[in-house]
Amino acid sequence: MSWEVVIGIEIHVQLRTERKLFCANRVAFGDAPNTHVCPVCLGLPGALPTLNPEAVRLALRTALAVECTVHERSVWARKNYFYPDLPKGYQITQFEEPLATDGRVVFDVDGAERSVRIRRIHMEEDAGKLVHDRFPGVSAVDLNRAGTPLVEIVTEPDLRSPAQTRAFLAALKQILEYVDVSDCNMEEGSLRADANVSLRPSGSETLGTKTEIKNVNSFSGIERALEIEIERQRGVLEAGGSIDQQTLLWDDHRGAVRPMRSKEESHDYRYFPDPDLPTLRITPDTVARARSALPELPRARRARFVTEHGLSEYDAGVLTQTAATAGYFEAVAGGIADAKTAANWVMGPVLALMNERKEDATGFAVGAPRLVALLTLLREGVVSDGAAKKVLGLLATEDADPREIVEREGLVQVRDTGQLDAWVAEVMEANPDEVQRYRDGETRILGFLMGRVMAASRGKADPRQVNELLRSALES
Amino acid sequence: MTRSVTTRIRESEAGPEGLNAFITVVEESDVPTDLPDGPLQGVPVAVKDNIATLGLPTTCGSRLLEHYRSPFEATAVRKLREAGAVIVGKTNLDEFAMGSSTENSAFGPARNPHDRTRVTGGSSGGSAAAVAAGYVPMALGSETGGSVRQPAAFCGVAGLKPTYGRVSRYGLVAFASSMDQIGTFGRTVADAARLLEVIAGHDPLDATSIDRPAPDLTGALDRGVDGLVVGVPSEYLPDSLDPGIRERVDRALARLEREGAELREVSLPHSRFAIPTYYVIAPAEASSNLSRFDGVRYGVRTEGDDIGDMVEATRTHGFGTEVQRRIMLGTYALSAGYYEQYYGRAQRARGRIVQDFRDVFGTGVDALFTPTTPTTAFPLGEWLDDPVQMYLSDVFTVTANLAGIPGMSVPIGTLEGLPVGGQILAPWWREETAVAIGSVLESTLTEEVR
Amino acid sequence: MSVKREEVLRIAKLARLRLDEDELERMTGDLNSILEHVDALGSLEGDGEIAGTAFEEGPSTRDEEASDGERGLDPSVVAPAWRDGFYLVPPPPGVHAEGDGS
Ligand SMILES: [Mg+2]
Ligand SMILES: [Zn+2]
Repeated sequence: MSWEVVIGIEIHVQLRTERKLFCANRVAFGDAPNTHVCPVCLGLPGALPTLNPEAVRLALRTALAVECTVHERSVWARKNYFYPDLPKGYQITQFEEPLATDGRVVFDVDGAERSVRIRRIHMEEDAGKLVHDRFPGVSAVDLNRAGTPLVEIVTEPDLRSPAQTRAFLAALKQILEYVDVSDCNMEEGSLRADANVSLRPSGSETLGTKTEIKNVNSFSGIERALEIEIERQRGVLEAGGSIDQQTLLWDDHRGAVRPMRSKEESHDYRYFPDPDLPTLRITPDTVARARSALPELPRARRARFVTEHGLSEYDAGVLTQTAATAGYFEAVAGGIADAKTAANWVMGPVLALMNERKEDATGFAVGAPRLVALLTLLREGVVSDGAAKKVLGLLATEDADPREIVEREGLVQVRDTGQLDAWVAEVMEANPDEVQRYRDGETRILGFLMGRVMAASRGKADPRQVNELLRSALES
Repeated sequence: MTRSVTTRIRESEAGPEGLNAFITVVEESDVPTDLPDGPLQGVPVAVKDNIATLGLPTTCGSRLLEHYRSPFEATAVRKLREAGAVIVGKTNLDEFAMGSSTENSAFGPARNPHDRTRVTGGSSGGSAAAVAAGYVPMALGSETGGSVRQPAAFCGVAGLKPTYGRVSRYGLVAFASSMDQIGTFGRTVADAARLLEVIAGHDPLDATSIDRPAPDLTGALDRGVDGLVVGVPSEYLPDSLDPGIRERVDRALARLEREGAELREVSLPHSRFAIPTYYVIAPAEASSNLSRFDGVRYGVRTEGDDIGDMVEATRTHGFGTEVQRRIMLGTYALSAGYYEQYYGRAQRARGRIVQDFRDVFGTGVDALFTPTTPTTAFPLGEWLDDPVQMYLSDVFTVTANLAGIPGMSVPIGTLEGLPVGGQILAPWWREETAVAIGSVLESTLTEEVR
Repeated sequence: MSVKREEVLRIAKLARLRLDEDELERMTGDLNSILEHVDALGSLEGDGEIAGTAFEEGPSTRDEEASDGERGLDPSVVAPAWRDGFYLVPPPPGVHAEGDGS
C-alpha cells in the first residue's frame, strides 16, 4: 500500500544580540570556557534574571517576517529538568502564552509553490555545553553559551517529503538572513532543527505515531536523516508492526539515527509561570513600527525583479539569493539604467569573481559605483567587452577609478577614422593577393584581412568600424 | 563602641545560655573603622544568613552551603554598608527559610531569649532573637510566609514586612519568588522603620522590584492614629483563639480607639484558604528554585558514579528533612496530571485572597489589626514531627505574603511571661500606615515586655 | 485522595532525592496529611482571576544602560571541581569520557 509522509519541524534560532537574554554577559562563540559568565547565568544563589530588550526586538522581527500574530502579553515559564549544562535546573522559556502564533512560510519546491503554517514562536534561553572529549574519565561544563537568546519556531505538520523539508528550511533561513536576526550558522549551532515524522496510509486523515529526530546540524543531514527514518517506519508498518513514539538522535559521522537512551529522555517538565519575570507586554504600535521597519522579503523582491526589471524567474531567483546581492544588483541596474546588462554582469563575471575571492556582495572589493563607472565606459564604446572584463579583475585588486586603469593599460578603443583608414590602407598594400581574391568573390577572406588590421592596431581598433572601412575600401 | 559588639555577641553566644542566634559572627578585627557618613553610621546590624554578603559565608542554614561564600552581594546589604551600618554577623534560620521555629537549621535551633526552652519562631528566628537579646538594635530578615512577623511576635520585637517589590530581592536566596521579600526587625518600631527606609527602592537587577518613591516611615512615627479606620477581620479572631491572646488584642484595639482610630468589623472570607494555598504555591516555586543546588557549580558535593548519582547524593545529603518534604510537595503539585488540581486551584484561590483585600481597603479601611500568631512561642521540639501543626502557626500571617501587602508585628503584651504580637496589615505601598499604628501601640503597651 | 508509595518514589526521582524505606514511609505519610489539608481548595467554586502578582506594574524589559556589562567573576572560587577553566562532573550514564586534558 502507498504511504503519505507527514513532517513537522522545530527550529531553534540563536538571536544576534550583543548580550545574553537575562544577564549582561556578551554572547561569544569559541572563547575560553566560562569567561562570559556572571551570577545570573551561573545560577548562583540569590541571582535574578532581567530581560534584554534587544532580544525582544529581534524575536518580534522574526515573528513578523513569518507572518505571525504577535500577542500583547506573553508569559515566561520555567521548564524544569536536571542536566549539568542547565545551571538553574530549569530553562526560562515561554509555554502556555508564547510571543506569537499562526504564521506561515511560502516557498517553492521543484517549480511548485508550497506553504507551511507556523504554529508558534517563543523566546527562550540556551543551555551551556557538556563536553566529554576534554579530560579522561570526567565530563566538563562550559557555561559561556548559557543564557544565549533563542527563538523556537514550531511548524504545523505540513511537510510531505524530506526534499520539501530541506527546501522549507532553506527558505526560512533566507528569510531570517533578510531580516538580519541571526547569523544562521549551523556549524556554530545558531540554527538547529528537530523534525517530527510519521507515516499514514495515503488518503487517511488521522496522523500516525511520530518519532522525533534531534541533533541534526545541516540541511543535507536533515534530508538524509528523514529518508532513513521514513524507510525504517515504512518497513515496520509494512511488516504489520507499529511505531512507538520516541526521540532519535542523528549521528552525522555514521549517517544513522539511534534511539535516545531513556536517561537522556525527559519525562515531566513541570512547566509553571516564572515568578521572577513580569509578563512581557508588547504594544500594538510597537508591533506596527516593527512591521514597517521590515525589509522587503525574498519572494516579494524576486517578484518585483521580474516585473520591474523584466528579469526571468531564474535570474530574479539568483539575484535575490541574499539581500546583499539583490541590493548590489539594484544599485548597478539603477546606475547604468540597464537592468539586462547589470543582471548579465552581476550573475556572470561579478558572482564568479566573488566566489573566487570568497567574498559576498556586502564585502565585495568592487563596489557598485565602480562597476557602474566601468559599464558606462563599455556602453560608450570606450572599452571593448573583453577589455571591460579584464578591468573588472584589476578593480578587485586596486582601489582605482575604472577610467584610470583603462587608460594606464591602454585599453581605450581607437575610433579615429584617419588612423583606422591608415591601418586599412597599410594592410591592403601588404596583402595584394588576398585583396584580389576578395574582389574575385572569395569574401571569406575578409576575416583574415580584419585580423591583420586589428593586429596592426595592436587590438585597439574598434572592430565594428574596421569592418565597415575595410569592406568599403575593398569594394571601391 | 561597635567593635565591642561583636565580641559581646561571641561571649554571650558561647556560653551554655547561648541563643544560637548567629551562624557567623564577624571577627572584631574585620569590623571596618572608617564608615560612610550615612543614616546608619556605626549602627550594628545583623543579617539573616539567606542574604548574600561579601566576605562572610551565606549558608542558608544548610549543610549544602556550609562553606559557601557568595562572590556577589545582595543589593539590600550594599545599601546597608553605604548607609554606614556595621554588619556584625549572619543570623540563624530554618534551612532555606523553610520553617516557623528556626529548628530546621543544619547548625542547631535558635532559642528564645524570653525562655530558652522555647522556639524563637521562624524562619528569621536568629535575627528576632539577636534584636530581642539586645545584641543589635535592628536586623534584616526575610519573609515568604510570616517569617519576620511570626518570630517578631514570639520574641517581643517589631517586625516589618514591606510590600512585595518594595525591597530588591537581588542576593536574597530564593524560596518562593512570588512572595519572598526582605523585612526588618527593630527593638522599636522606629528602628525597624529606619532600617526599611535604607534598603527600600527600585533595583535594576530585580525585575520584580517596583520603581516607587521611598516611603517616609520615620515621618509616620508620630502621626498617631487619629481619624484612621482600622478594620478587624472576624476570620482572624476565631472562637478557638487563646483567650489570653484575644484579651491582649482587645486591649490594643481599645487603645487605638482611645487614640482616635475608628474600629470597623470587616471580613476576608477567603482567608480560610490561605494555608492550603500557601502550601501549594510556596513549595511549587521552591521545588524549582532549589533545583540549582546540584553540586555542579558550588556547594558541598557528594560524589557519585555518574552525573545522576552525584546530583542525587548531593541533594539527599545536603538538604534537611523539611526542605526535602517541601521539594517533594512542590514537585508533586506541579507534576503531570496534578498541576490543575493543586497549582491551578491555588493560583485562583490566591486571586480571591488578593480580591478580599482590595474589597476591604476599597471601602475606606486604612489598615487591619489582628493577632500575629494563634499561640505564643511553643517549646522546642513540640511540632517537629507534625508539619501541619507547624504550618498553622502562620495562619494569620501568610495572607499578606499571598497578596503582597505590607504587614507589621508589634509587641502588645505578654502571656505567662511570653510576648504576644499584634499584626497590622496595610494596603499595597502604605507601610507608613502600619508604622504609624505600630508606634502608637508600642508607646502604650510594651512596657511589660521589656 | 491519597498518594501511594510508588507515586512518592516517582516524585523523588523527578526531584533528584533518594529515600530509604523509612524515609519513604514517613514522606508518604507527611505528604498525605498535608495534601488532605490542601484538598480544602476543592471547595473553592468558580474560576475567579488567577492571582495578579504584585509586579504586574513593572516594565517588561531591563534598561540596557543600567546593566553594568560583564561583571567580572571567577567561577572557580566556589566550584567543587574545576580544571583548565571547566567545571568537572562525572559523565552521564553510559557516556565514556575521553580526552588527553589538552
Ligand atoms: Mg526549546
Ligand atoms: Zn551572565
